[in-house]
Amino acid sequence: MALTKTTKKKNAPTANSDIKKLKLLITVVPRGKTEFFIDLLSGFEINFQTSVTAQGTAQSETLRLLGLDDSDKSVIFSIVREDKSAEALQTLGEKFEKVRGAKGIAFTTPLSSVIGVAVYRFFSNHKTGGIGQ
Amino acid sequence: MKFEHEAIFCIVNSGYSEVVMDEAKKLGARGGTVINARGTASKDAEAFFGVTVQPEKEIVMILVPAKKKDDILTALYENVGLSSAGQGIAFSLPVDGVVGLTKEQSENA
Repeated sequence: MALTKTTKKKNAPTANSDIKKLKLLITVVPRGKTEFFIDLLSGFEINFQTSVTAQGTAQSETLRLLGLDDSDKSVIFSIVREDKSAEALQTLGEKFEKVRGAKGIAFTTPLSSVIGVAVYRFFSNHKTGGIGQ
Repeated sequence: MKFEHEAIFCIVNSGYSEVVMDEAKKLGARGGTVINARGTASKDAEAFFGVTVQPEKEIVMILVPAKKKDDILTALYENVGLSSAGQGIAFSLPVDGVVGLTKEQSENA
């Protein structure tokens, strides 16, 4: 029992605090639609996003030779709270289907850890008390 | 927890992403995304192990069904691994949600 008390840090989240897990959301989209998807994702309480330019590997040699494949891509890395990830993925899926020239792919992978209360609060968009308060 | 898909990341010397994709496609992967990157390595480690790390790298990201992951990772290790000119390092991350795959891609990707 004493060990629990002595090892408990001042700012460490308590067991009953409302900590939600985080996921890394990776979205691969045509380069011209990068801003569109970054704006879209920011509506899911995503505070941290970074995009990098990339190339898609041509899926069809015929299309590539005809110059019809759009291989210029952007990869958007976003940190999303677990309870928002399904909603974000569903919306992305709808946009991939409905928006012209916005076909892409998105997937999430769980984050196992993050260091720093302020960093966690930033990633999870946790604005009110409870964590580190 | 069991995942249906895995994301394979393979970091290779610049110019070897096509080899990575060729190996992955042989085992059923459908497509991938190549990101240009810059590698760093400890100079001491380079001297100790007698290798030179070329800084220009490519990161190849491939989404595959979990059941094909092991075969693809093995092929990458054997054909574009550290002992090859591509000096590749491959690893996979679990994928717990995915959108944008066609039904065919989802089953065969």
